[in-house]
Amino acid sequence: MLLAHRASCRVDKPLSNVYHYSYTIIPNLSCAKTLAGSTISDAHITFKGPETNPTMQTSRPVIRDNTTHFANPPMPHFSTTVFEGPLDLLLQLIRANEVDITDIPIAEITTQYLSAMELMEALDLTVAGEYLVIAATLIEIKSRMLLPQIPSTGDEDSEDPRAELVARLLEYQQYQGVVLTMQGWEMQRRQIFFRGALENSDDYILPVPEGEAHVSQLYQALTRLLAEAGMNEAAITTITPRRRLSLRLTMAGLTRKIVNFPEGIAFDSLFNLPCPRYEIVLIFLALLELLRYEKVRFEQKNLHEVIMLYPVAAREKLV
Amino acid sequence: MNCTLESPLESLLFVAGEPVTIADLARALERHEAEVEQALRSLQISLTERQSGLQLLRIAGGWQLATRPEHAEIIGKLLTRGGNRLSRAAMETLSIIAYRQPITAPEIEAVRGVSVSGVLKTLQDRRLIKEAGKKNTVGRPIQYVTTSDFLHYFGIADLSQLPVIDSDTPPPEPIPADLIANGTFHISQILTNN
Repeated sequence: MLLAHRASCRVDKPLSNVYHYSYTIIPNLSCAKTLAGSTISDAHITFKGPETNPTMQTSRPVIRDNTTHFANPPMPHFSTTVFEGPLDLLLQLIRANEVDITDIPIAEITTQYLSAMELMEALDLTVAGEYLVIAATLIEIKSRMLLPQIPSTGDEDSEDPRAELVARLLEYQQYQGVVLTMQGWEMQRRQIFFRGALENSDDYILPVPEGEAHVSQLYQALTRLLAEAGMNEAAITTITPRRRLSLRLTMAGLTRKIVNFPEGIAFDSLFNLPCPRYEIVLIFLALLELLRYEKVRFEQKNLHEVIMLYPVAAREKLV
Repeated sequence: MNCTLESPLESLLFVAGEPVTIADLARALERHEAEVEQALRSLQISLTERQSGLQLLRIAGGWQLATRPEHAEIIGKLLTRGGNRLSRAAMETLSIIAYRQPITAPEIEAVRGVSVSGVLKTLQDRRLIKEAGKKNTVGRPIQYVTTSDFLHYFGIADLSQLPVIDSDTPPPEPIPADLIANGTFHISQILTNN
């Protein structure tokens, strides 16, 4: 698909009028060779995404004001999905040149590598420092290889200056191979679905395996508790329909509730959390009223213990 | 022959909603692990034989019921899929961690040649890796390991299923066409097609 939509165009001009597309830049080897040290004259632009058919360029309205357009061309938007870093770029150059990784023609590869960097710079891609590190390494190796070898005396054989880089490339290449396997697995795995355990959380609770709880879970629990306590009141802008609040009605409801528990009911269970703050206040006021009229009595065995409420029978009241 | 065990086993796997180990299943069923394993295998076969829409998989160190891959399209019409595929950078980082865990960020960077802090954050957010203490070297850098979610994400039972690598590993195979269609492609492919 990508290849089908590929368009070759001159960088200096057409870029400015197709800037609203997303591009991927692939330096062309044949041109990269001629590029070294000169200006960018040719680059291959690959169009990505559904709206990338190059023929669409003309159908899209492009604001063209020749005076300002060329004076201040808009920045094209690029994505560099091609290289995953300098080692990746280097490996791709080695593969494209079909050379042995253990016997890299340093001079040639260095030239191509620098051209690719130059191309990225010319297209206003921010070339990360990591690319420069490898570039420096390449140049260093190149210079060391240009120097005449000191005839080795004894068995300390002169090491290939490329050895360290080759080792790095080989290791990196291994992981690239693994990535392909993992991408295959990912695709297969995305074809199957599992059911989550959460749907049943009301019916039963799975024990949390030790050490698997996370800070975020604690935070979630806290948020839930606060919500239950009515702390997350609706935003000020919310319009709530006016509700008739009546102390008398609340008192009646409360009495009915408490009468059902001759053996006592806990203070906390009077509130149906989560509920708005005014409801908590209302229930509390109603309770105070009931206590005043001696329809309810309360008891607390010890400090900080649960406050229990008991209905007062009609005859008890007389005492 | 294991009919009596298969049926409760299926129920257990249905409610669990996550990979269940044979040890856990054996405890719940009050049977020997060997018996349970045998029953799991016969349940696996019987699901296929009765053309069930579910299959039994050994995944992330346990057993779990899953849908059949051939129904993916139909399921996709009912459910909206969440979560994107992992980026190349994430995959590379993940593969290095998988093989060399516990590993620190500088060690990963030495292999990849690029900074990995952003990628590590993403992988942690997706719970594919987690921190596992600090290395006893200068600066005490954090070490990372893969999680059981990592195994689950790739649908494998354990880390031993990862391909064997050594320095004699041949270079990666050319990327299959379907991967190119998905946006993962190779410069060499484009160049050779010139």
